[in-house]
Amino acid sequence: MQKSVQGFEDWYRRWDPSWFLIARLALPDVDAEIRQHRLENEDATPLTILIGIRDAYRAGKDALSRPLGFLPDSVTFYLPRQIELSTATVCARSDNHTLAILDYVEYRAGTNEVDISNDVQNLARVMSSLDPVTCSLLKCEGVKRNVDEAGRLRGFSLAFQMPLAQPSLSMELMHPRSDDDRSAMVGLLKGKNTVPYADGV
Amino acid sequence: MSINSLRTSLLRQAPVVSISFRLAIAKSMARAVIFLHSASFVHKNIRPETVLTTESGSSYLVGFQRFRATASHTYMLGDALWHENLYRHPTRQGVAPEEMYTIWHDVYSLGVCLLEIGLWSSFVQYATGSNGETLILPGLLEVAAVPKIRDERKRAFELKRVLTELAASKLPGCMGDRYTSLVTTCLSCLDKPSKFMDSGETSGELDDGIDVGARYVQGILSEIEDISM
Repeated sequence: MQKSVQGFEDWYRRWDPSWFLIARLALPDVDAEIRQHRLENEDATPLTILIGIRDAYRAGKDALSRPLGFLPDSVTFYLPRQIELSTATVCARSDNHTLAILDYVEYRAGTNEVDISNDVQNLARVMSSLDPVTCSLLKCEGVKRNVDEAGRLRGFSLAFQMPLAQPSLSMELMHPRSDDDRSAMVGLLKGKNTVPYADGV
Repeated sequence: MSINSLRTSLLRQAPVVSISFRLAIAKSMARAVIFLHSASFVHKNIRPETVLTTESGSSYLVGFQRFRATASHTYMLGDALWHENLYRHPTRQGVAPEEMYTIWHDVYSLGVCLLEIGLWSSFVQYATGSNGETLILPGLLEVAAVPKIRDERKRAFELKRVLTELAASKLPGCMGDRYTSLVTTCLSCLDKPSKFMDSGETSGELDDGIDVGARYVQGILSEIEDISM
């Protein structure tokens, strides 16, 4: 027992967990206090990060009980344009005609379909609730199951909101401010006809 | 404003990228890892192809092809793609990785990326073959020399040694001693003993939220956030 206590004391001295524990306290007073300090401090970066960690932790816990549902089959993604040398693609959504960044999660043979489905939905849920600027993680707008012609699961598409501005084909596509702007951009993309057309994803 | 992959930026913007721009991307990536981990996920695929950057220095982690919830079952699956293994810890390379994946394996991948960002030089080059196919070629000479070793495990650890040596020899002149120390800390995070791990510990034992989070925040995040140019 004494050895265990000593071990904990050594660990505590070396890795003071206070800061990280505060990030996990589920008390509204803590949020209010952190925000107040952020207003009063010139360099608010550490407190912004602290808020981000709190948000991420809570989103993670919440996601375990309420995963984000899959997008209906009627929603497709069209006009795919690969972001060069990346795993992501810029596409337009068929339901609201706004642009989104698509990222793919592969379903690997030998893994459990139910587990990966739940994990993907939970990840989508978490990423739908975080601030992209603070967390450097794009805001998720939905997730879709990708199946082959035989109905077998091939993977998932995570649809993310475009950050601040779009990957532009030209200067006129820059700085969208609303969904209307994004719809207009889809029109421009279609009109320019400079992206390789493909069937819906 | 346009969005590029970090790989595209590394290949096209060399060598005229400011140090503050490099540092902004590095900080963003270090934050993304802790936010993801705080939500109980490991990414498992951190490399310049899975990071999107904007002109302002904002960056976003994507590429969730192989992510996993920390509480979920691990299948110990891998692959032999050299340009992806380059970013994996030696114990996670190849088709049959020998260790369970933890956040520390993400930290190692982060370290390789921070090295590349600091040097602003791509470890991977892309070219088009005679039949129009995409060729993926080694970038920096030091990294390219490693795959000549036949034994997979030896090659993996040799690659880690080369990367660590590259950081020690070339990074101080580009990004300073503190950034260099941070990169070598990431690259050695699973060594025993290391800054994060005592001789008897395993990465799995450390994989509970508070302990790992405290070590990451103190040992990596606060260190990089303190660097200013």
